[in-house]
Formats: sequence, structure tokens, C-alpha cells
Amino acid sequence: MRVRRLAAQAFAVFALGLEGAWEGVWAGNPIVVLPDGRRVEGREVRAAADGTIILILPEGARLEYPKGTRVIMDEPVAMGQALERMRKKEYDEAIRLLQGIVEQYRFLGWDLKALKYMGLCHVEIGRWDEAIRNLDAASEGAADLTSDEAMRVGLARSLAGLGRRDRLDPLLDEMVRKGTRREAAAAQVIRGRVRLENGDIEGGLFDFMRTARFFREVREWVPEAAWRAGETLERMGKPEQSLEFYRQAGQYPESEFGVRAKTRLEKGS
Amino acid sequence: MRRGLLLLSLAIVLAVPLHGQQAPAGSSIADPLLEREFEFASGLIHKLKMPDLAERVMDRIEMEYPTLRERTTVVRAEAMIERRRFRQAEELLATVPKDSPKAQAILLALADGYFMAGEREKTRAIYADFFNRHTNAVPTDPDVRRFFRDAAYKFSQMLAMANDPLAAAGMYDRIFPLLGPDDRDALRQLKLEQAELLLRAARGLPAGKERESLIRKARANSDEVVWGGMDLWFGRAVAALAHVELLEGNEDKAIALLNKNMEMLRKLDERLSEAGLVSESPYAGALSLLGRIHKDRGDFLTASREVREAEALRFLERAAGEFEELWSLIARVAQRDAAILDRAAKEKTTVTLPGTPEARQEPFLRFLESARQFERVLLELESGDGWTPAVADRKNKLKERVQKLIQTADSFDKKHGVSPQPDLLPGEKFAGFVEMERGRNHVALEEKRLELALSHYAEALRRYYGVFSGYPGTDWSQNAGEAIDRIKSRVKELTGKEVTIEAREGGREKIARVVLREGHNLFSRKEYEKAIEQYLKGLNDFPEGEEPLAALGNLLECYARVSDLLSLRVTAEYLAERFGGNPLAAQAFLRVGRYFFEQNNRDLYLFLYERYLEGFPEHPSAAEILFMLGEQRWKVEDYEGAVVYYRRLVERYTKTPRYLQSLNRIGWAYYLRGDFPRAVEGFSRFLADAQAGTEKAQAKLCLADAYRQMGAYADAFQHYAELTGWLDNKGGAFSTSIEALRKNEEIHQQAFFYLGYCKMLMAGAGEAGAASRKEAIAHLRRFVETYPKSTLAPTALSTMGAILLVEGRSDEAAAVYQELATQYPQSEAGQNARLAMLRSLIEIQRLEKAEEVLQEMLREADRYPADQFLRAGILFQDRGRHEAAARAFEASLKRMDALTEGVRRGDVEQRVLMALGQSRLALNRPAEAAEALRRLIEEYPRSPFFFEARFLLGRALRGAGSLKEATEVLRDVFLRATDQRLITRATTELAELQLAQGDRDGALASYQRIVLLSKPDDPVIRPFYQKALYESVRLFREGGRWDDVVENANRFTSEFPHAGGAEEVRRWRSEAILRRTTGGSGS
Repeated sequence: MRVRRLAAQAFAVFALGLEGAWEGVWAGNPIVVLPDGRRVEGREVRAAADGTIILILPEGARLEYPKGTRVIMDEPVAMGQALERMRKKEYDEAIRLLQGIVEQYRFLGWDLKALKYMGLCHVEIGRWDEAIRNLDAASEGAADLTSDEAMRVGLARSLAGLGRRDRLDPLLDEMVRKGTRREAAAAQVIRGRVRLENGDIEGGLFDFMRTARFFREVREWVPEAAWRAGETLERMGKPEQSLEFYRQAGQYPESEFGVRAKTRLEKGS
Repeated sequence: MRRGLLLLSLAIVLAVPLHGQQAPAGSSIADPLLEREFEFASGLIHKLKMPDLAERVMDRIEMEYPTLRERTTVVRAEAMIERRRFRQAEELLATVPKDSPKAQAILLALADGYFMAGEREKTRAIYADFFNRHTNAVPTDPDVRRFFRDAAYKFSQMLAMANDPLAAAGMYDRIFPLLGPDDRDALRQLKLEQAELLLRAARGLPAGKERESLIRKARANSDEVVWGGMDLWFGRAVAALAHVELLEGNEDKAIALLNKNMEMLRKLDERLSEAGLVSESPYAGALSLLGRIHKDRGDFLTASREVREAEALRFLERAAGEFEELWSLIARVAQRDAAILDRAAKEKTTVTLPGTPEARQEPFLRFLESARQFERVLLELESGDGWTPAVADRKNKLKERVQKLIQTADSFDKKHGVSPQPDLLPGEKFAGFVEMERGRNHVALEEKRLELALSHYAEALRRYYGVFSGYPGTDWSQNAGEAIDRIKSRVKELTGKEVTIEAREGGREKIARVVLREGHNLFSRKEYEKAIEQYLKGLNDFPEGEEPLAALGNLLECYARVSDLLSLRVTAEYLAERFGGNPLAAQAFLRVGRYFFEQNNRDLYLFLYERYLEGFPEHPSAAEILFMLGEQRWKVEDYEGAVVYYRRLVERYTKTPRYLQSLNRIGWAYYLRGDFPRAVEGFSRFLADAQAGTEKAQAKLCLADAYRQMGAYADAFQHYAELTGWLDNKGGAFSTSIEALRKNEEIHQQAFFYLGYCKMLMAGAGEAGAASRKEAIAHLRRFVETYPKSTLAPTALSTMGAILLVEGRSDEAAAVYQELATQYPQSEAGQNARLAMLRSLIEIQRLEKAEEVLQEMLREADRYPADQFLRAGILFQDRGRHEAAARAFEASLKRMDALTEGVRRGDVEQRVLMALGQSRLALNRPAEAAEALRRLIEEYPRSPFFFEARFLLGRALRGAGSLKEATEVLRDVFLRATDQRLITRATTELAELQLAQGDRDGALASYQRIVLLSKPDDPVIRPFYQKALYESVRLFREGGRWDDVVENANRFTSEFPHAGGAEEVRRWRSEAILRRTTGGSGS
């Protein structure tokens, strides 16, 4: 009764036996969250083709909510599987699983997460266009994803891959100035690469050096930054100064840049 | 005033460091007031930091009481010392008798001042001399005793800081006799401090009597303090006693002592923390000591074989000592028991000793078993790797000692047994076993030793980290930090692995804070390289926050100080970008920018200020910095460069005081460069918001003048009229002072004059303009009547005459010129009426009429001296009428050929020939120009036009195609010129000639000479420098010399960032950077 009252006070449309075109999935323990924060628990939830959310209540009644209404539900099993594949770097398989989630959970929230991870997979295999498409779609659907660290880094990498400076430059600027530490480190390295490609050797060097020196806690990006700083210094005819950075990169033997650095040091000594 | 001063002095709590309560000689009932004046002055210096005011007080006192000069000198010396003018303080000291208490007081104050300034040697010299004068004296006067005691204490601290603990400890012996019965607490503190100094001194000495004596005294002092009460000094005394034990090799006793008192020390620590005195905590000392003990143990276990064997033997010998002591106890008790039984037997009484017969034998058995075990251990050690020959003797003696002990115990009469007591039975914790085991460990297999060592190191690190993070900013923390580094290095050396610290939540940050603070300490001591290390280490774990930001700012300065410019730039970019808008970061830029500014390193201060402006545009000083940068360019007359900064300021900082000033500067910059349209823009904006005053009036005048120069006479007229309206009212808002009145008067005159002038120029031709011309004449007449003494009055009359001429009113014109000649005979216009007429006509833009006048003059050439034709020619030449100018010059030459008496032909002819050359060249008649100039050069070898004529001749010859001859002419310049400006100009001309001749390398060399040897700040040289740099980049690029392209391009963009060609140069530089790494060649 309470649920019904809630539904009446909200903007739900109460419909019995309404058959409309719908897509959706039976999802465990779905909860619809209303704009004022109240929650409505159901047994099943689906989404119509136009994005209308249909919640089946435990006693069988059915409520409808407009597109964009927030839905909470258990994580799809396929999501965990996809993430596992990602960890193993089996990106194509992960994409396949994520695509399934996107289709099955369209408008239900998990589709956006799946889009995000699909985008990240595409980033890893260098499919920049698709990566951008997926990441943009994910962030358009969920405001919180626009500031998602992994997404911003992935987006920056993809834009750099495509040379889309119009979008890349402001994004990198934002990440460097106001992003998290990881974002800033990533943005600096990406910007450094772009600068080098465009002949701004000094600018590139500064980005690499500052990442290597001041962002040591971001282990994901420091080996590359250190390696590139060393390499750039060597190109500029400063081999003594390059050694500091090669040694730093060499402290990360698990990274390809660490291996390169060690080889370089051995060759030089 | 005096009353006010006294009231003020009563309100201030003052220190009286030097000049006690001594009344001045010949003083009267005003003495207490005088004393207060001295106290007040001293307070001004020490409390309020206003030494200047204090000196004024002394000036007044000295005037009123000349006999008090010695006392006022003391205060003056204090003021000098406060301002760090030590030399002046010493000079003052020389005026006061050396042995006077006052002199001594100044002397010690000076020593303190030197100490604060870091001049340790001077400090020490002064104090040493002072105390040498008072070797045996113990003053009786209480004030002097106190003074002496304080001085002695201060000196002891200085000696301690200068790393002479023995001398520092010695000073305390001079202090003790000066303490009274009420100084019990002070005595405890001093005893303890002396003990600590003695221990420090002892550590630096080899084993021997001196060392032992110091340790003994330290122990005595510490015991005295320990038994005297439970306070801070108690805690430190415990730590001192532990140190004593360590120095005597009794590690375990040291540990036991510390552990026993640890809880008490921790409670003391809590109380001290609450009182904000954590740096004094003995708990930190105790922890550090424990850390040290464990570290030392680790070190010994991993030391070389010789060291380990010596240490092993030390422990084994101590073990032997423990066994001997135990046996001695067993034997004594057994002998006592035997004696009891003997007595009973003699007395025929019965006595039962404790324990069963078996129990009574047990101590003997256990002892022998243990001793034999010890012997076996020794044999094992011998039969294993054995001992090195170096310790053979010692080892053998030990073996004998143990064997002898076993024999003694074996052969002892045991029939009565011995009363079983726990202390006679060696258990697991028996000291002999512990020492024995320790000895064995030192010669154990490497693996075992390493394992033990690592556990000691871990324990040491635990203790040290506790100190390091718990006591930031203290010496404890610093020493602990250093110890941690040493241990980590050692562990890495032994195991090849880095030590990682698993800190609890917030632990890493806490440690990092301490590291950063250590960095600050090093920074403040100017140990920049070490500070850099600490900062980078700390920032690793604590990269963002207020403390890291302060560290980054200091790091920036460190890089500047050690001249690591690459790191400086990297850090600056990071700081400005990531922390943009943060005032702390902004301050760092200003500080380091200032550092380079004072060094006149333009490249770097510009770089830093630009980063500052990018990163912190809202910072309160941003407008000031922009203005300052503009002023820097203004000073060297680089108006174009200056305007860039002023524009940036006015675009962004409209609400700052510099906004208006910048607008004014912009107007002036363009005005001075002759860019009148932009000058109008600049002045207009300024005038819209400026307050009434001379500056505004001046700007208005320049605005009007700019319009006039542009030929916009109506606009000029309007502004002149407004201006005169402002200034007509002499008591108005524009007249803020007498000086302003005077300047306004000058401005008014000019405006008033040009009103008439513009009126005339606005007049249309013919009848249509007659009314305006009439008004102009009337106005100019009014001007002459109002300002008869003005320097513009002759010009006004001359202009009137010209207008009348144009009107065809020749008689009136003649009358005016007559008036001109009569009223202003000294003026140029007065002296040469026809010339004045000509000038006026040219000025009012009636050039054709002017040429008519010239023609008239030429027709009557005999009537005019050569110099008048010269001046007429120059007037035409200035307006670009070179044909007329050339005719005038030629006429002048003809007149000179006729040679009129009184004409100094030399001067005039030189000028004529020079000007004729210029005009002919302007008329594109280079051969004729060259003819005139050659004549000048040949006939006047010492002419003031020596250089200018050659420059011009060179150009004329180039124009005529005689390049070789042109080069020869320049050679003269090089041979004779000493002025760098001339040389630079000649070099530029030479370079152009060389290029014209296809000699690119020659031209490049010439341009590079300018680049390398010229001073670009010289406003005359600057344009040549710019050209030389630009051409150098261009030519280097053509030659594929990329490194040179980059170097010269950098200079260009640094000096002329916004000049024409700057973008092109930047593109060339980027290209060169790429090319030089890929080996491409130029196009």
C-alpha cells in the first residue's frame, strides 16, 4: 500500500496489462530511486524502447517511470566476467560481453558502465574512434562519469591517438590543472608526447620531467615519463642529465620502459 | 611631546639589556624620567623594532644632556646592531673607553648580532676576549654577576653549536659559582647540560684517562640530577646515564636503565607536549638511544671478520667475568656454610643448613656443567673457522681463564654443599649465557648473522621512525632522519633490496611532513643541495597540501640558488599550472623572480614573472609586476616593448592604481614614437578616468598635439579649447600646489598658442576661410599680449605675419615682422625676418608659398648670407621638399664661394655639403650626392660629420653601384670610431654591403659581431641589435647551422618577444630543433 501511495505521489503512470514494446531484463532486486530520494523496490525491471522504465512490484503490479530515472540493481554476472577478461587483457572477448550488457540493460544504468569499459577496452587496443564513441556515450548518459578518472584518461589517450587537438588540448589542460593526481600525470605524459610530435622538444621534456619528479606515486605513468625524459635529454645533447631518469625508469622492471631503460644503461656503462 | 613619550613608555613592557639603573652624573630630580627615556628607547629597538625612532630619542637626550653621551652611544650601538650595521656599531664602540661596562655591554651585543648574522668566528673571538679578561674574577655586584652568568651561558651555547663541547662544558664551571641558593632549578639544568656536553666530548676521544675522567664527571652530574627530583631534568639525566653506560660498554645496563624508566619518560613526554615543549622531551632521547644501540648491534654483526672477532671476544670475556662472579658468590656462600658448621662443631651444637644434600650440591653441579658448556663453545669456535692471528693471544688467555675457573670449581671442597639460592643457579637468563651467546653470534655463519642483524636494524628503524615522526622540527628528528637513511643504505648494501616502510593510516604523510620540515631547516641554513634532496623525498609521499606547497616554493628557490636552470623551469611550470591561483605558490614566484631581478638576469626573471602572471592573474601584485616590466622597457626607451605590458595591465586590471598610469604611459609611448593615432587612443582612455591635475592637463595637451600632428585640426582645436578652459581658473581643481600652478601655466601657454594656430589651419582657402584667419590673427595677437615673455611669442608674431602674407596684406605683414624684429631681437625669428616668414609658411603648411619666398630669396641671393640659405634648405629638407632644399644648399655654396666677410665658412660649408648630400640622395641622385660628400670628407678631414658623412657616402656609393668603394669608406669608420654605437652602425652597413656583394659568410660574421659584442639595452644600438639577431637567424638557417639558429633565436625571442619577425623566428627555431636531431639541412 505504501508503495502504491508513493507511486501515486510520484509521477508514475499506473497501468495494468499494458503491453508495449519493451526491452529489458529481469534483474535481481531492482530499486527505482525517485528524484526526491525515495526508493521503490520491485521484483523486476525493464526498459521500453523509448527509455521508459517499467518496474514490476513484488505483488505483480507495474509502475512506469520516465527515461533517465535512476535504477539500482545487482551487478550483471557478465560484468564481472568482462572485467576479468579485461584484467587478462582479452579485450575482444571483454567487448563482446560488455556489448551484451549494453543491449540488455539499455536505459537501466549498467549499460553506461558497460559502455565505459568497452571504451576503455578499445583504448587499450588502439581503436580510437570506437573508444571515443563509447566513452562519450557513457558520459552523456551519466553525469558522474564525466569526471570518472579512468574515462578521462582513456578519452585523452584516444583523442591523442586521433590527433583531435580541438578536444584534446582543453581536456588535458583541465586534467593537469584540476584533475586527480593520476589524471594530471597521464595528461602530462600525453601532452608531452604531443608536444614532441609537434617539434616542441623543450615543452615535451618539461612535461616528462615534472611527471617523473613530482608524480612518483602514480606508478602507472612514471616509468614512461622517466624514460622519455631521459631519451629527450639525450637527444638534446645532455647525456649526463639523462642518466638520472634512465635510472629512475629502470626501477620499474615490470614496465616496458623500465626494460628499455635498463638496456640503455647497460649499453652506456 | 615629552609627556606623550613618557606615557607611551609606561604602557610598554620593556627589556633593559644594557644600561641598568645607573644614574647619570650631574643629574637632578629628572633622573627617573631620564631612565624611562632610555628604557623606552631600548624598547623601541628590541620590542617594536624601530631603531630609527630610538636614535631620534637619543638625539634629543644628547642635546639636552651632553654628559650622557656614553649612555646614548650604547643605545645607538644597539640600534646599529638591530639594523645589522655591525661596522658602524664597532666604530661607535671605538669612541667609548674599552674597559667601561658600557663598552663591554656593546661588545657583547655586537657579538650577539654577529651570531644572529651567522658570523660565528667573530662572535667567538669577541666572547673569548671578554672572558679572557675576566679569567679569575667572580663579580660581587648582583647585576654584574647576572650579566656575567648570562654571557657565560650564551657563550657556552655558541661553543656547543660550533662543535666544541669540551670548551662549552668548561664554561659551565664558571657559571656554577655565580648561582645562589635560590637557583636550585637552574643548577639542575646546568649540571645536566654540562653532563651532556661532557659525553659529547668523550665520544670524540680515544679510550684513555681523559675520556674516563669526562665520563666520570658526567655520571656524577647525572646522578646528582636524578636524585634531585622528578622533572624534565630527571628524564634527561636518565638518558645521560644510559649514554654513560654505553660509553663504558655496558649496553645491557643502558637498555635496562632506559626500559626501567621508559614509562616515566613517556609520561613526562605527555606533559611536555601539553606545554608545547616537546622538543625538550627525554623520551625522544631514550628512543633514539635504543635505536642507536640496535643499529650498532646490527653493524657489528655484519662488520669485517676482524671487527666481529674483537667484538665476540669482548662478549665472551664478559661472559667469563659473569661466570667468575657467579663462582665467587657460590664459593663465598659455601665457605660461609662451612664456617657455620665448623663453629657448631666446636660449640658442640647442631645446626641444620637449608636444602637436601642433593639440593646443596646442585649449585656446584650446575655451575660446572655451565662452565664446561662455555668451554665447549670456545673449543667449537676454535675448531670451526678458527680465530684470526690478530686475536690469538686474547683468545688463548680467555681459554686459560675458563679452564682455570673450571679447575678451581672442580677442586673446591664441596662436602658440605652450599645453601641453594636462586641466584646461585645459572638459568637461561644468566648473564654469562647471554654474553656467551652474543659472542657466538658475532662469529656465526653469515646467514645467521645477517638474520640477526636485520632484526636489530628493524628494531632500530622502529625506534628511529618513532622519533622522526613524533618530534618534527627538533634535533632529535633530524638525527633520527639521518640514522634512518644510513640504516636503509646499509640494508640495501647487505641484501640488495630497498627498505619499504609500511606505515599506518596517515603514517606516511606524517613522516613526509617531518622530512619536508627538515628540508625547511636545511633551506634556512642555505644548504640548498641537501634541502633539494629532502624536499623531493618528502614530496614523494606528500605531494599536495599547504606544507608541500611551501616546500615546492622553496625548492624553486633552491634550484635558482644552485643554478639548476632546467629543474627551475620544470618546477616553475608545474607550480604555476597545478597550483595556479594559490597565493603561497604566487609568493614563491615573486621571491625567486626578485632574486634574478636583482642579479639583472633578464631572461630568467622574465620567465618567472610571465609564469606568475599566467598562473596567478588575480594575485594582488600582478598589476604591479606588469607595470614594473613595462617600466623596465620604458627605461631603455623600448616603447614598443613597454606598451605590451601596459596594455596587458589595462585590459585586465582596471580597478588598480596602475591602470590609469598605464593608460597614460601608453599614450606617451605612442606619442614619443610619433604614432599619433594610437597616442590619441591611449590618451583618450586615460583622460576619461583621470583626476584633475597636472598629469591630466599634460595628457590633454599631448592629445591635442597628436591630433594636430595628424592634421585633425578641428579635433585639436576642441581639445586645446577644453584644456584652456580647465586651466583658466587658477584656483581650480587642477592647481593642487605651487609647482602644479607653474607647470599648468606652461601648458596653458602652449594650448592657448595652438588654439590660434589650429584656427588658422582650419580656415578654408580663399574667402571662405577669411573669417577664421581673421580670428586666428586676433587670437595670436591676444596671445602675444597675454604672454609677451613666452618663448612662443615670436612664433606667434611670425605666424601672424605668414597669415597676413597669405591674405595678401603685405604691409601689415611687414609691420608684424618689424614688430618681431624690434620686440624680440634675440629670437631667431627676430633676427631673420624673411627666414622667419619662410619658416612660418612651412609650419602652416603653405609649402608652395614658402617656395615662392625661397625663389625670391634666390633671386636676391646677394642679400642673404650663406647660413640663411642653409637654414632655409634645412626647413625644406625636414618637410621632405628635397628639390627646394637642394636649391637652397647650392645657393649657400655659391654664396660661400663668393666668401662674405664674417662668415665662418668651415662650419656652414660642412653643414651645407652634408645636407646637400642627404637631399641629393633622397632625390635618387647618388652620384651627385657622393660628389658633395666626397668634397666634405676631403676638405674637412676633421669634420664633426666625419662618421655621418662616411655612412651617407657609403650609401650613396652603394646606390651608384660602387660597392667596393663603399666598403673602403666604411673602413675609415672602423679605423677611427671608438664609440660602440658608431661601430655597431658601421658593422650593420658593412653587413648589408657584404650581402649585396654575395658574401654571406662575411655578412654573418658582421652580424654576429654585433650580437656578441653589443649592449642591447642601449636605445641607439638596440634596433641594430635586433636586425643583427634576425639576420643571423636567417643566415644560419640558410647555412644549415641549427645549433646557432636555436641559440640566436632564443636571444631574439627573449629580447624582442613581440617585435616584428618574432613569430617567424620562433618557427625557424622549432624547425632547427627538429633538424638538428635528425640531421636535416637548410633550404
